[in-house]
Amino acid sequence: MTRGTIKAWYLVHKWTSLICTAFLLMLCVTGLPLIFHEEIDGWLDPPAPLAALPAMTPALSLDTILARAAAQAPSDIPLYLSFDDHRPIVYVTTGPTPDAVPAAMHFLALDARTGAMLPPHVDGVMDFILKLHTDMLLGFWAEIFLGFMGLLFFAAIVSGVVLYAPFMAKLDFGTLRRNRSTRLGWLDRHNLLGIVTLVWASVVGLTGTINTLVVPITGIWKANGLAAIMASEARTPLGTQRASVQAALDAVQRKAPDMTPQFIAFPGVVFSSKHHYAVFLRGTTPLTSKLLLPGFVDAATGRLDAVTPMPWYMQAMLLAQPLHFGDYGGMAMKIVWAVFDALTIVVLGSGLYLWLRRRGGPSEQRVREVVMAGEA
Amino acid sequence: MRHRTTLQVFGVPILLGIATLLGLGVGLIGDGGWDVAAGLLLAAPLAITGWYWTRTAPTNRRNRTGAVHQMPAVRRV
Repeated sequence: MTRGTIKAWYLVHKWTSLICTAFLLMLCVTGLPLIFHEEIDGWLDPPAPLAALPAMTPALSLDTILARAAAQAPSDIPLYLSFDDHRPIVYVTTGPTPDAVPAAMHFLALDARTGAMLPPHVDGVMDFILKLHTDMLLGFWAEIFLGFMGLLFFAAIVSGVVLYAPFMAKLDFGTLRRNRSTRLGWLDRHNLLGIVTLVWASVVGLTGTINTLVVPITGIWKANGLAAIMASEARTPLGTQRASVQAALDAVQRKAPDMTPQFIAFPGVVFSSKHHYAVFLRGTTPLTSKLLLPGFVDAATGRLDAVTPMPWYMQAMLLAQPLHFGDYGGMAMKIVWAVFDALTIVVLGSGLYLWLRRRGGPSEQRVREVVMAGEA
Repeated sequence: MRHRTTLQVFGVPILLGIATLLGLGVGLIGDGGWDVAAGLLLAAPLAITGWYWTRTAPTNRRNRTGAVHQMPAVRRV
C-alpha cells in the first residue's frame, strides 16, 4: 500500500467516524437496555393475568373482537389486528384515519376467548428509549438520518479494516503495548476491539439502516409487486358495509394451513392496499417465522384476490429485524449482544480519544503512525 | 521485526469473523441446540478478546531462575 493510498483511507476513516460517532454512541447506549426490553418490561409492567379457562377454550370470532374494540374507541376505525406469540391475546390498533400518526392511535388488548378488555399498555421508560433509539423523538426524517449514520459507520468500519493491515504488519494479533504511553495503549485496544467486533458491528449497523427504510421499501413493494392486486381497487368501491375479517383470515389460512396468523392490516394502512384486508401469515420455525406470507382479501366483497410470497427485498427487510435485535437465540445471544454492544462503545470512545489526543502536525503524521504501528 | 503478509495479519480476524457469521446464521435455523451452538460461536471472538485483553505482556515472562527480565530504566533526553 502506498502512502497516498493509506492517507486516503485514513481521511475516510477520520471523517466518517467523526460525523457518526456521537450518534452511534447514542444508539449503542440506548440499544443496550433495548436488548433486554422483554425482561425489563416484564419486570416493570408485569403482564395482566388472564382468566383461567379450560385449555381448549375456542377463540371468539375476530368480528366479535373488533366489535368489542370499536365500542372502546367509537370514533376510530381499525388499522391493525395482531396476535400474541404466547398467550390467547388479540391486539387491535385503531385510529381516526388510516394514515394517523402513532400518537393519535389507540392500542387495545383483548382476551381472544372472552373478548374481555385487558389493562391498556401504558408507555413506559422502555418505549421512550425505543423512540430515542429509532428517531430521537424527531420523526421520519430523523430516522432516515440515523439510517445514513449507519452507512457512515459501515464506511468507518471498512476503512478501519483497511488501515489495520499496514498498522499490524509488524505486530502479532492481539498485541497490547501496556508499559508505554496511554495513547499507544488505547491505539492497540482500539485496533483489537475494532477487528473482533467488525462482523457483528457491520451486521447490526447495516440491518439497523435497513430497519429505517421499512416505509419506503414497503412503498416500492406496493407500487410494483402489488400492482396487479391494486388494480382491482377500481372495480370494488369500499362502502361502510365490510366483509367479515374472520372469514378473510380463514380464506387465507386455507391456502397455507401449516402457517399461523401474525397480523391483519386494514384498508389504507402502510401494509395493505386501499381496498383489502391484508392477512400476514408466518411459518412456525425460527427462520420461517420471520418471513411473512400475505394474503389479500377484498374488504367489500370478501373475495380472496391473491396469496403472494413477498419479493426478495421485502424478505431481506424482514430478516434484517432479528439480526438487528438479537432476539432469536435466547438469553445467551442477548448477553453476547450486550457484550458486543459494550465493546463497540469502547471502540467509539477510544477512537474519539485517539483523535482528541493526536499529536499536532499534518495528516502525513497520521500516515506515519499507521505505517510505523504508532512507534513514530 | 518480521514483516507480515496480509493473510498473516488477517488470519485470526477472518476466523473470528467466520465464527460470528456462523453464530448469527445458526441461531436463525432453530431453537434449543441451534441456539446453544449460536451462543458458543458468537462467544468465541469475545472469549479470545478477553484472553488477549487480560494476559500479562509476553515481555515480562520469568526466566528459569524466577527473576523477572526488566528493561533498564533509561532516561529519555
